[in-house]
Amino acid sequence: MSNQSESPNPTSSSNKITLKTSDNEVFEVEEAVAMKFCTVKQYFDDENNNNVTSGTSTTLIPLPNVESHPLAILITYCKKHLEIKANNADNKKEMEIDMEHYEREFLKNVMPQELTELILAANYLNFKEALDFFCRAVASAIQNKSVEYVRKFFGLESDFKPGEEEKLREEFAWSFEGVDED
Amino acid sequence: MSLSFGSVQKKVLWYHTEPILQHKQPTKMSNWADLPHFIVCEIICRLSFFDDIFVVGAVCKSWKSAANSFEKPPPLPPKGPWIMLSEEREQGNKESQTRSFFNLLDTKTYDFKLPELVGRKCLGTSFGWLLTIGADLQINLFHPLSKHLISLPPQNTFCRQYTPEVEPEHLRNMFVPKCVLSRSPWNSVTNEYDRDCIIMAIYGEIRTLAFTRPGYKAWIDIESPSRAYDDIAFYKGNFYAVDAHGEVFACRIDDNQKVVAKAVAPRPKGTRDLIKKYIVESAGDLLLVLRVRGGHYYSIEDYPNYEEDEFNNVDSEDDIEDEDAPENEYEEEEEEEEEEEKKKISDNSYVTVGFTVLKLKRFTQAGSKYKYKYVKVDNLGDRALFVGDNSSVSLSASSFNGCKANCIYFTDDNIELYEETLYGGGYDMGVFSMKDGKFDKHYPESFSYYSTPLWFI
Repeated sequence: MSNQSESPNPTSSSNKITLKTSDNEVFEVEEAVAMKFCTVKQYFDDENNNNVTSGTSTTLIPLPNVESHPLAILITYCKKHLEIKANNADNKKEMEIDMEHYEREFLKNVMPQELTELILAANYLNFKEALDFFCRAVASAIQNKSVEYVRKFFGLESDFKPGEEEKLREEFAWSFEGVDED
Repeated sequence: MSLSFGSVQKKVLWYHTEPILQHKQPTKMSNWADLPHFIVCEIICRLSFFDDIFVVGAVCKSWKSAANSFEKPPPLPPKGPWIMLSEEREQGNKESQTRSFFNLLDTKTYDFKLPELVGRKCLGTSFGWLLTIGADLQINLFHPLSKHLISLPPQNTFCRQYTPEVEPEHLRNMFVPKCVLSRSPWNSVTNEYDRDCIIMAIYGEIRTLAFTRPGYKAWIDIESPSRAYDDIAFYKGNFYAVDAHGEVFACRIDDNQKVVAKAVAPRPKGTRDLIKKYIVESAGDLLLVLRVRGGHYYSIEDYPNYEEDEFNNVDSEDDIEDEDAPENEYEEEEEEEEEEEKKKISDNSYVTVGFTVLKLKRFTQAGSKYKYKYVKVDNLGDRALFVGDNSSVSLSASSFNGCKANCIYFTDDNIELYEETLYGGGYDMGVFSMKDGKFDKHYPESFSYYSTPLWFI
């Protein structure tokens, strides 16, 4: 099964890199996109050094710790990231505004549970911008919320021993004040 | 190309520069509690408030141990404003090395063990940091909640020194009356101290300006046509400083050439030097806040005709209409309050009796060196201003931080006159309502002869 990533930039004639996920799906992506995943880049560079003779052959890179679902989302995010960067090459402020806008829209379509998968995948791929963005997204979901709200939001349950949580709350009572209504 | 699955996995792991995930098979329903510690830590570093770190730590065991894994937690600002009470508030505070903080959110007082602050003069600098100076004349930025500390160049690296020499204790108390940061000195992306942070101070006998950055060896003087500065604000990339007459000067920091402050707004009409000036960015505007004090030190004759609308003539055409006069039925009550007010003024050597807020408005006039004129502000909207021995700050009252809209929260920063008081300074604090001009209390008093209570925000 091939999962061709849609709408490659027509002006680009760069090499394609093939990524294979843990659930055996194959993604063919632009080199520029793949190189944002530092884990892939390292592997790719090393392969090239070891394999000078192989020339322009397409490389297949297995990603045993990444499933196809988060990878597809990360590729979309990465493409958009590069596109916004290219469109505003000479205006950092514009770029930040565009990026912020895109990220806000992006989060509307992501469930909290998906966010974990994305974080783990971005971490494994060592895709720094995405990891930073997802961590920021989680942080802002937590901001000014009660402990109960945070648990519910992320589907977590308290595993503290009886009394343990109360002790925490007592010790740092001031930090549990003034949170948003759940 | 033929690579076996096993060898690839090994390779990928080898190239990974950061801690490797422990999970072997990604599961469909990933569990938030299974996030590796360092990712929970990355999330914590991106929180907006220090308080939220404890919320994260109270969610589950795994998150708690991540939150506890920091040698020092990230130095984030507190959610709501606190008053750091003066060092002498209670007997024994010095021995126990604690400082008391009053939380405006829950109106409770909390003691924090802070040996780092014993005997040191503190100034609030926003972003959760304090500027501290000891009798050793070392100057630090200190974040009391996380205990992060950044050493700044010591007092003797300022260009202008006192002549003749004075006691170090006096220098500690008086040498730097005000300090403002351009941003938090902590960079949450790199998790390091940030050289982009500019620390600007009013200093010395004649209260001039100097700046430094984390890692610099000395304070760098700023050339300016005035002196006796009262306050500084960082606004849209520039620093704005107001002097005792109310004239405002602006400068942009450039590390490669001499920084010169230029006059941008004139003295407001009708102000006097004894009226304390603050300058603060609030909801996109730059505001000049005038704090009028009475009391027997400020012999009332100094401002015989002081009235609320003293500044109405500053810019009549743009003036916002004052609200209707109070209704008659409250007259009696008001008279009583006035009596009380008069008594309060005559009993104390100084006490705050009113505030006036002016907005700097862009204005160009041929032949004038000033870029701004003043417009009187009668309503701060959703905003509350915090002034005193801190970088003046404006907060939005609707964002659950425990403050009331359209009010000015002030602490007693009249350190020059602490010695002139009967029981010490630290009593002249409260909340001034812009709506009806009335005063309310936030914390009774925090007496001391050398240490001021101040906003920790």
